[in-house]
Amino acid sequence: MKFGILIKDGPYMHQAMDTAYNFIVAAMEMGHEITGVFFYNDGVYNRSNALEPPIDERNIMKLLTDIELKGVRLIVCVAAGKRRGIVNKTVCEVNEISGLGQLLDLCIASDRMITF
Amino acid sequence: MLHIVKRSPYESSALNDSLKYIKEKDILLLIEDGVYSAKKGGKFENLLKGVLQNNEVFCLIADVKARGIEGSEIIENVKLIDYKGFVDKVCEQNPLMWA
Amino acid sequence: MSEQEKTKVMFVCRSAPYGNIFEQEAIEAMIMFGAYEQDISVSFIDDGVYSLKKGQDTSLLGKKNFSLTYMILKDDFEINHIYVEKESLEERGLNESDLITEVEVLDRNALREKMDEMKAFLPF
Repeated sequence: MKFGILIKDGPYMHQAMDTAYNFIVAAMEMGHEITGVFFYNDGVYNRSNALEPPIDERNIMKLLTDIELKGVRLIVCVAAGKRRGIVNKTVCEVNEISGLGQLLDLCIASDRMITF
Repeated sequence: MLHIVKRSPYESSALNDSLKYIKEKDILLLIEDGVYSAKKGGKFENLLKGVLQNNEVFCLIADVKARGIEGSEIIENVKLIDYKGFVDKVCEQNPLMWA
Repeated sequence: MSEQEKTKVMFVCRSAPYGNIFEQEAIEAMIMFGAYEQDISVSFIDDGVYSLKKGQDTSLLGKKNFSLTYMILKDDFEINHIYVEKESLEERGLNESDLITEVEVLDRNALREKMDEMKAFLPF
């Protein structure tokens, strides 16, 4: 199946990004396709390039880069990102910044859309 | 529909709100702090038992274990699933997150 | 595009306005989605119904009054349906005449039936 993912919570404060990450990894191991991960609301903070947790703690920036390297599109909403200072200078390098139309495209292209 | 609840029922109306929309064949999935709903002896035990009469209820095992809840403390007939089971449930039913 | 080919997406708005950003950023998404000729509906349930209350005045807050946008959501932004749950209105002492724009007030069962038609939900 094709899954589209919407992330609305930021990193660390809530569990949403961790749950989503574990869901994505499980889905990919099972042979499902992730059509994309769209970051909206405070979810855009997950893609800040300045996340620097203590070395013995999970690094959400690195976990997301790992799944991006496996071919998953990570899309930061441009409007929600600008509002919070997540712009080209401050977003992770390999990341995609795009409009809300991409979120609708995920709804269209995916068999299931799930929000975390 | 797959109703997913991630908030504790003691601090959020999400569980109650989701149950107003639960229909025959729908599934309730408790994750994150939502798993506290399924603890035996808690205030929501009877509510969940009522749900179990008509619907399947699942709990994400990673969240149950993390919170120090033993399998034996989970209300009977609530099933524990891992992340792959979570994925399977989303395949079965269209998910709506009740945050 | 024929009606059958359109993707049915429902915004599920359960947050009251101003206390957090969900309503504001949900509206921004609704406005964008309307331009894509899909089948977009918006449902207001639980505290979400407060977003539609008449008479909102945000001048002392220093924030935009987003409720005005709902008045033009259907006509200018081509949102197909705006549903409000009857029970949520009643529980909060509101009725249809308290709302800023014309909406389809549905009871829970009717709204749940609409949900069965959806391909995707976007909860806010």
